[in-house]
Amino acid sequence: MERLAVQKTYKLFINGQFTRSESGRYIPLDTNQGTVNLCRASRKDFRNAVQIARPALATWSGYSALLRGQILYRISEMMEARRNDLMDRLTELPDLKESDPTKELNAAIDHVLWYAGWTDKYAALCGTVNPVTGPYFTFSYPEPMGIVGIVAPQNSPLCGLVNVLMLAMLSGNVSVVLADQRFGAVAITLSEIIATSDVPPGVVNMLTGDRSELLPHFYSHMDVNAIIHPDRYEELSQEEIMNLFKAEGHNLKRCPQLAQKSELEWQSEPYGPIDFSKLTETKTVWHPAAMP
Amino acid sequence: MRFEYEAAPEDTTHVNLQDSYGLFINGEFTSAQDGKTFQTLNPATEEVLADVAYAAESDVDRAVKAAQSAYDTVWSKLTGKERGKYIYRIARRLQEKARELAVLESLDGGKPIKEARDVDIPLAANHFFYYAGWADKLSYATFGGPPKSLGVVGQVIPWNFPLLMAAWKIAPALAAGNTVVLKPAETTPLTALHLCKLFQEIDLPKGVVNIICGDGATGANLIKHPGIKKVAFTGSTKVGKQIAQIAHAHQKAVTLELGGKGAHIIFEDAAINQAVEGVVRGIYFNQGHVCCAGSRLFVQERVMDAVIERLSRRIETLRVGNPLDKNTDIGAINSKMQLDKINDYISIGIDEGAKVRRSSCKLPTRGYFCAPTFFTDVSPAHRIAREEIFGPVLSVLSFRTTEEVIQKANNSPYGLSAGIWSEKGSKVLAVSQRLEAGIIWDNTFNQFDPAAPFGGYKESGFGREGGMQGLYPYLSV
Repeated sequence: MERLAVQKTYKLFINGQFTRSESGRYIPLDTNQGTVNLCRASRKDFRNAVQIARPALATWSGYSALLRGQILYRISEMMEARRNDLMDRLTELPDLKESDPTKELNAAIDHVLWYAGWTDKYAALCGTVNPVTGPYFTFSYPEPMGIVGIVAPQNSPLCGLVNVLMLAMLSGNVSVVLADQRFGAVAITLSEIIATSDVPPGVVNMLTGDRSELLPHFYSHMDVNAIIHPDRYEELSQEEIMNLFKAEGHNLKRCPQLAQKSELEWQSEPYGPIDFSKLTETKTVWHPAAMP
Repeated sequence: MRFEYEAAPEDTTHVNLQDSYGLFINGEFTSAQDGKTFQTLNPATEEVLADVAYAAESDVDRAVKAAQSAYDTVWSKLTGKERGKYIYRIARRLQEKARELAVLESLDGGKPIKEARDVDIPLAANHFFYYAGWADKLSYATFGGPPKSLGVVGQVIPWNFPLLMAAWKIAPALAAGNTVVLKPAETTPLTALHLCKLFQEIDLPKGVVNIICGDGATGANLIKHPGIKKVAFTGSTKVGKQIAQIAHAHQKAVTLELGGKGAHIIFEDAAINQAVEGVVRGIYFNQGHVCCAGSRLFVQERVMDAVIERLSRRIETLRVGNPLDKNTDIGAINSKMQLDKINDYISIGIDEGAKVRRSSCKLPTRGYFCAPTFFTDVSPAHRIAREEIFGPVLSVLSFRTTEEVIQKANNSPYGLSAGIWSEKGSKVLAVSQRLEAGIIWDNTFNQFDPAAPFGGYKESGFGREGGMQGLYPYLSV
């Protein structure tokens, strides 16, 4: 008799733990391997994630840049180690259009490596010593923006997700991610990798759920500092966009403009230092330099 | 025996003040299409200085079209080197005309001539000089990526540093290859309009910079105009939030430099006399009309009495009065509306139970003046400790531990500036790292330089002005 497989439950990833939605709701997802049930996160799940992310910011941004780099490197190690799992998740997707899963996976792992190497270097490029007039030593350096709400790309199941997530993480930001519903199993598998890569709890929080239900909460939450939403202008009508930004104005969230990328572009070109600066604040410090 | 200062008024005869000013569109001064004008006053005397054309929607449209045409046919075709030469010319002419512009700035805005002369105008010229040099070096700022300009940028600036803010906006925009439509504040349009005369003198191609005057409605028409690719605004957080919504929703790039409630911290190991001078500079500079003013003073308990005693004595020596007198420290409040707002806050502070201390100086009988003021016995919940007053009014609060003051300082929706006074370098740097503010002044305050990026965290806005970082808002990167 053939062995009966153990089926997996895909839960939300909040505070380093895998948990069901407090709402008890789920979303059936058809895959080539049959139907799985993703959790359908509620507003409360999202708000819990933000609450958890705030103290995690001090921890993550307080780590040395070298340590953050080593942890991102560890994520790439764990992705490599679990490539079969990721491959299975990618191949069971009904509509990965242009590229093949192997390329998607290889690019994703290599891109994580790219970001891992940047953590202790970007500040040397984006930071400046400012040659001011007067007896002052003045310098500017990037600090993380804080809690970043990430609405994952809809055209790249793993590589797109990894790029926007790493863009936030490398400079010390923490994030609450809304995975694309169709790619929810990929996103939660990536979360399992993150959970075993020494990333402190709460630094990455991954939600699966209904986009139109959760988007307004991402935009209106007063403790979210920035939003990355690369597909905004493709997926939403002008009126829907207007409504989202009405709420955004309450606390002046940063909503950086990032280049729109095709499925293949996500694989070919990771973000660079100019993009890193879009998720950092520049702090300028003046200090007198005069003999007493 | 008491020595008094003699009056030392700055000469105004070399300022060629016109009775009326037009809009500056496509290189020419022109009336508004409907002929509407408004008056600009001298806030120190309440006398009318000039009539200024008021730009309606059709005038905004003309200005944006002129800027677009200049972008398409001239400015985007020039090499960075040639653009830079034009900007260098602007810087040099500003230096040549520095004194008359300083006098005009003081007349129209009410700021003391010594500040207009020694701070506003030289910094404005330096800002153009600084960005002129970037025009042919942009690819170094973008780490090798191709630097692309955006097109026509719409800029709206406030009344506290009229010419300096125009320079902060125009210089990086031009260096990056954009063309400009700028709206100065309603109460202080004159130096920007004299800057246009200077553009004519240096043969800046027509339409590269257009200046339209008016009020909030004019600014709103500018920002909404479909031809505007990028919006830059300096002003209140309330208006900034509305602008952010419009700009974001229409995919316009946007940078905002908004309000603040700067935390100014004096530790017990500070050089107290220097710190008190820093406090004076932090809150009484430019009548406190400074977005990055140090308006919340946190004093460690052990030195509180010493600080209050010195500060009380020091504000008695500040000279309030005629802005054109070279000895004046505090000039006129910019407008009646602003003076009313400041006085409202002073009443609110008294009603809330804080203790008010004011200089006993005699104020001029005409014009809008406010004596330097500070409050003690302020709690962090008081409105005068939370809201931006934008006047010479300071709230003094106390603290015991470093952790406590970091928490108190960060407990604000604003995050523009902060100051730290302590002789212990490691503590100063550690506290600098923990404060949520875009500019930290350690053992100094209110220092500005074109090479140093300036801008806020949180609800004080986003984007930076000055330095290499100040180029990014004007490039498509």
